[in-house]
Amino acid sequence: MNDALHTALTNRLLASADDELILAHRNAEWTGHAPILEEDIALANIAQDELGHGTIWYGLVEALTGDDPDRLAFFRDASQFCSAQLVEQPRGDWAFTMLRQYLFDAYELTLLARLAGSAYQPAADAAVRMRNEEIYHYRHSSVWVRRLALGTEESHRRMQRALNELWPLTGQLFSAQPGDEILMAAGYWPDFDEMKQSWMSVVMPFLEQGELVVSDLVDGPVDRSEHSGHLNGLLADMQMVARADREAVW
Amino acid sequence: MKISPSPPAPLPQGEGSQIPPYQSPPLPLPAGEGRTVSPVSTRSWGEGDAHLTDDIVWAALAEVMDPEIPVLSLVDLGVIRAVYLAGDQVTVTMTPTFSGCPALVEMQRLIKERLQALGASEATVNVVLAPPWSSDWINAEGRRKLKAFGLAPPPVHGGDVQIMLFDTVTCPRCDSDDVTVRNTFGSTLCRAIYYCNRCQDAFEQFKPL
Repeated sequence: MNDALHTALTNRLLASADDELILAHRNAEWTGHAPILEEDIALANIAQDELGHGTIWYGLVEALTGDDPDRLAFFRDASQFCSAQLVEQPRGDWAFTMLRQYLFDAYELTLLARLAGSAYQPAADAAVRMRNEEIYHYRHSSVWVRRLALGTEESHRRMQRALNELWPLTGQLFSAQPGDEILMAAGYWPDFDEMKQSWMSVVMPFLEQGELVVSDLVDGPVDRSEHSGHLNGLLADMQMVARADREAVW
Repeated sequence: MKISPSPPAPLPQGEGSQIPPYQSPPLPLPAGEGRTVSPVSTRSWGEGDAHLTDDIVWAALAEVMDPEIPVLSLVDLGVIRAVYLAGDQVTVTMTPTFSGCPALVEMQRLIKERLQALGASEATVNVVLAPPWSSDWINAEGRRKLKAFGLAPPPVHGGDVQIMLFDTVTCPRCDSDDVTVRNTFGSTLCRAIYYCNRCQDAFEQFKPL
């Protein structure tokens, strides 16, 4: 593997790892606060799954660079993270959390289905491992989105408001970063445009069935080095204990 | 079985991709059939070497219990994929169950401890992701133990991840299939919560994966 490919692959794996870690943290913020006990349990499970996926992606980064996953998670500043702004947003209300999860689950399933055939075997193995778990998430989040979208006037209004806020942020998931063209050429990572088309073909009719209106807002390509203002606060919370004693062994 | 008021939306598929779409995992192997013949040691046997064999190691691993389901051994669970012997050095290959399962680290520790107690001079546990663990790999003995423990065993799905979510679940206490899913997530990553309408009580299922 040449240097350019090595760097591009590391960045892309890190982006996937960061997405999972940050989303897991946002979902874990509901622990003890979800509307009903069953949902508290479900979302804690989903958060734990995403954390597990993050661990696998960080492990693949470690295999390439030697970086310790715990150091990557707890000792990098916001400027060094590659997470998407979609997962950085505060948890919002239940509609917001479930819709974000749905949009991300659909993206992740779209990605994993293709990565399963990646020419980079460790990524292919990881994708096959994660995909069956994601199916549980997708079922859960899609049922909630439908239920709230077609529920009461208030639940529909909240779901529409969440969609208005989240929709412009989905574009970043499918925007290629510098170096991604090398990954695609090597067959290591799937084509982003094709992924977006496939994702849209699933998500759009689903949202329409829920009588939700997708805004025309089209965001330009946003680099993953650009973060929402929310990431700093999240990291301060998430990294506080680990940074209190840098040499502690857990 | 009632799952939800409305059917879930179709899953994003891999069609149209440059990269071939998702392939189902290879057909599962029951534990034991995944055993790999150990390479013949090139070392000469000396005094003090433990005379470990494949069978001795597998029998010992069958005594190491899942930390979260203490009636089920790691062999029953199907996570032990291969055992390699080189003299008294033992290497065990295992696959994790659910990606985020915190028991993985504990399982590795328990395996090492057991192998050292057996006389292994060196015990190594390699964790591999491929082929991915499937709940189909829980053997017949494991399924019997799960049921006796009060956990409904997962349906065998042969890798069809769409079908596995809708397969019939029966109550581990009364065998009734008049059950309702309450939560596809439970007290651990591998459990779902059901309600038996006949017993009028809740029970847990080991989730198909």
